[in-house]
Amino acid sequence: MKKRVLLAPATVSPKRALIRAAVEKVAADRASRNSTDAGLGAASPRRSGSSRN
Amino acid sequence: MVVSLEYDKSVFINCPFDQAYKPLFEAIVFAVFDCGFRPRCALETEDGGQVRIEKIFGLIGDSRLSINDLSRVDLDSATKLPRFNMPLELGVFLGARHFGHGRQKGKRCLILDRERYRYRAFISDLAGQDIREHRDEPARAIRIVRDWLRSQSIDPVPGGRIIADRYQAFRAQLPELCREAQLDVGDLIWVEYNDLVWMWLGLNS
Repeated sequence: MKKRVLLAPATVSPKRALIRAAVEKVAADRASRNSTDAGLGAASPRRSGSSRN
Repeated sequence: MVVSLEYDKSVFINCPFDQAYKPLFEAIVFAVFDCGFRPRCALETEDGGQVRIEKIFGLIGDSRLSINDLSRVDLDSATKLPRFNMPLELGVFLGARHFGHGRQKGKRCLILDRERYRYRAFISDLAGQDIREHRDEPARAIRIVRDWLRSQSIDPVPGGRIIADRYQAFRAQLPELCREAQLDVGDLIWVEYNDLVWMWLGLNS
């Protein structure tokens, strides 16, 4: 199946490099937060499991 | 006839640029990018030496498609006169399609308004054109733009709900994105907003 291509804007912002860095940083921060949350989520049942003991 | 990708995928957006319209404008621009097209508008060139109408002729000539919003053809509270820029630019687009040659004949446009048949009271010559009502709702405008662009594309286009959900996620992250990029979220200019949308979609879709 053909993939959709995102076309670049017709004009380039003078702050493109800054914007690129910001978008990448926010995405990385969110990914890292999500993986931490997932890790905590995975730990929860163990904690509740241990409380049953 | 060979039509360039640049022309084929360019969408001239003819709408107001005031703060009150911004929620609709930004949603429409996002939907155009997410559908794999390139938005064009009069805000993209800041050449003060160029006469505005010449700039608009150039943008229309370079765009196969156009989205025209007539919802703000209201009386100005101070002058008591209507704002006619949008109907004028729509007229230029329709004229280019009618009188133009070659690729200009393949032009297509979408006309938006608050209510579907309101145009009859102020621009009845548009009868027969497909006019869609967004009811001033950005999510609805996204779905209308998506459905229309789907009909103009041979490439896959995401569903309207998917784009609307992505747009919500983008809006939620926008303050953080602007903080990181040292931009004022309430005062983004056209090129900055375009870059933010394009790069964000590149990482989040």
